[in-house]
Parts: sequence; structure tokens; C-alpha cells
Amino acid sequence: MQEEGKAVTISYMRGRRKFFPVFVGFFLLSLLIFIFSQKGLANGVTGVLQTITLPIQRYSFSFFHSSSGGDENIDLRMQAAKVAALEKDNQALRDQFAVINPSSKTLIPAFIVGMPAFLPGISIVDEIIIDKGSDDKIKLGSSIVFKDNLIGKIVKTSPHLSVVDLLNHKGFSFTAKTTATHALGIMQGTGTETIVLNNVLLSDTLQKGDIVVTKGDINSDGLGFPPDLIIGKIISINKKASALFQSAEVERLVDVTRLEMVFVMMR
Amino acid sequence: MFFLLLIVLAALLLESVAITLPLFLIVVLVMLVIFSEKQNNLVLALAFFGGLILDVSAVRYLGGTSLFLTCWLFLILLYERKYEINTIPFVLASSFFGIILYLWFFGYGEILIQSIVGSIFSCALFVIFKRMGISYKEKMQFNF
Repeated sequence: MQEEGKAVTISYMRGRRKFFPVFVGFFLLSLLIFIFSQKGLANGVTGVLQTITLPIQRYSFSFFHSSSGGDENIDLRMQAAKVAALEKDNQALRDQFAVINPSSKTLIPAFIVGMPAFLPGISIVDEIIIDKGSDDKIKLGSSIVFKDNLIGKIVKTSPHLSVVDLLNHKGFSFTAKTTATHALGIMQGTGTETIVLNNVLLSDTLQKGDIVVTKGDINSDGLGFPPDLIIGKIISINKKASALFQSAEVERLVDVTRLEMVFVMMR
Repeated sequence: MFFLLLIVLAALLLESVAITLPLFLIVVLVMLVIFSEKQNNLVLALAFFGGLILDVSAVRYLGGTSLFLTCWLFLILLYERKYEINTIPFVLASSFFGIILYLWFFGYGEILIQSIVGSIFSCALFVIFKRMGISYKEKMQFNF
């Protein structure tokens, strides 16, 4: 018994002695990879790793996204989810290619593979991850659309994945106009479910139910939002005679949490 | 072992596609506390490779999560010499501060509420792990 105890103590001391060099090894390796990645020298490795993880990520996202609980047979449920997903994708493609603006020649279909939120289905989603990246010629700032609705823009790319900030993302802003009254303003994401049309002149008219579209602000590189993409519908107006500007709360017409496919606009 | 692997995989999958709560950090932290003396190198390796997978799937700079996780686990192991880490209060405190730092470091929102939920979850996981089988330390104390 005592010998066993001694043996354990010795192995315990050895474990501690071995721990520090192992930590230093992993620390230096992580640091090295991190620095290489920041300098853009690890894109090849990232690409290879993403090729391996992307199918798993895509499959698990569609599983989590389509699973609604219940006690049916799991295999059948997974097959039904696959068929439903295929039907949805076909429908999304057909719908998108039937839309005149934006032109289908400039669009790349992309699957959503990540929709991180604190509590999925309950918390607000303001960012999604799509399965197209720099290897598919996706650029930072490219617009993401669904039919003729603006969904967001690309803020981060990697070889096979990209991060999209949705319209309600805090700090997201761009120029917009209303369709009925042609009032100009700046759309701003608030981090909540709705978005706000700010800086509208008091002399302009805002109407409840009016549709808000992009004004168009494409730069010389072809990046930015093209005109007349639908942003949403005005649900409330905040107008005070003493203020310099008026504002309106806008509700998006597309529920991004229900989407599985979006389209990247290429220029 | 199979159960642990399942939990690690589930944490990685959920964190990469659906949830911002750092589940993988919670799982490796609880594993380190439970298996501290014997398996700490294994847990470090798991944190390193799991961190790389998370970086790849969340489109972060490669190595960032591994760097954070290895440093945080190292800090916890430093406390092992001074405090009894195999306790609920330690797991609660270390996961709470770990999650705050993690969410801040990677720019996520709702930091406080996520930290509270995450630390409660880590305590629950710790209790489950403890009930499933005695940890290495308890075996050692029994031998002495």
C-alpha cells in the first residue's frame, strides 16, 4: 500500500516537471501560428483545415438548424431534413434567378454554415458565416442578398469561409431612401432586432409602412451596396419639432434565422 | 473516455456553428480540474488542437484560441500549488473570469450574462464528472 502511494507520488512529481515544457511548447507553437496567420502566411494551412472541417460544419449546421425536437426516428428525421434542405435550396435558387435586380450574373450562391448566438433561436443574430471565401474570389465589403433584399456585407474572409455582418449589427451604417416619399437617411444597426433610419431631414416625409431601400454607394473598386435593394419596412417614426433630424424604426422583411442559403454579389 | 470524447466533440460542433458561449473552454477547464495531476499535458494538447479547429470554423486568426486556452489553463495550474482547485467555488470563479476574458478577447457581446450562464454550466459539468467517477486526486488521497 505504501509502495503504491510512493509510486503515485513519484509519477505526480514527474507529471508536474513535464507540464511546464509542454506548456511552453504549445504556447510558442500557438504564438508562431498566430503571428503567421496575422501576416497572411498561414492561408494555405487554414484552407486545408477548412476543407476538412467545412463538410462537418455544413452538416451540423443544417442538423441544428432543421432539428425541431420530437421523438421520431432520428434517421428518418435526418433524411427528411436533407430532402427539405434540397427543396429549399432549389426554391431559393429558382427565386433568386427570377429576380431582375440584382442580376443573377453577378451572384454566387452560398450556404450559411454558422449562425452564432448566445441562445440559438432566442438571442438576436447579427452575424453569420457562409461557405464561400477568398478562394471563390469573395472580397471584403461584398453585399449579401436574398432575392432583392439586402442581408449584410462581408467583413472577414478566409480561404473557404466568410463572416457576414447583418444589417442589425451594431456599427453597421449606410445610406438609404424610402420608396414612397424619397426621404434620405442613414441606416444604422443597433444590435437589436430592428434597425434605425437616422438623420432624415425634418422637411422630408416618413410614412409608416413605407419600404426602405439602399441609395447605392458603390466605390471605385466595385464594392458597396448597389441601389434599390430592399432593407425593410418602417414600423415607427420618431419626429420632434425641436430636433434637427427625424428617425424611423425599420423592420427587416427577411428573417435571416430561417435562411439556409444567401447570395454574394460579385462585381 | 467515450463520454468525454462525445462531450468535447459536441462542444466543438456547437461552438463552431450555433452558440457564442465558450463551451470548449468550459469543457477543457473542467477536465483539467478533474484530471489535473496526471492528464494535464493531454488536456493542454486537447486545448491546442481544439482551439485550432475553433479558429478555422469561426474565421479567426489561426492559433488565437489555442494561445488563449493554453495560457488560461497554465494560469489555473499555477493556482494548483496554492489552492485546492478540485472544488466547485474554484471551478465557478475560474470559468467566470475565463469566459469574461475569452468573450472580450474575441469581441463577443452579452459578456456578463454569458459568463454567469457559462460558470453555472461548468459547475454542473464538474458535478456530473465527479459523480461519474472519482478523480485521480481522490485515488491518490486514498492511497496515502
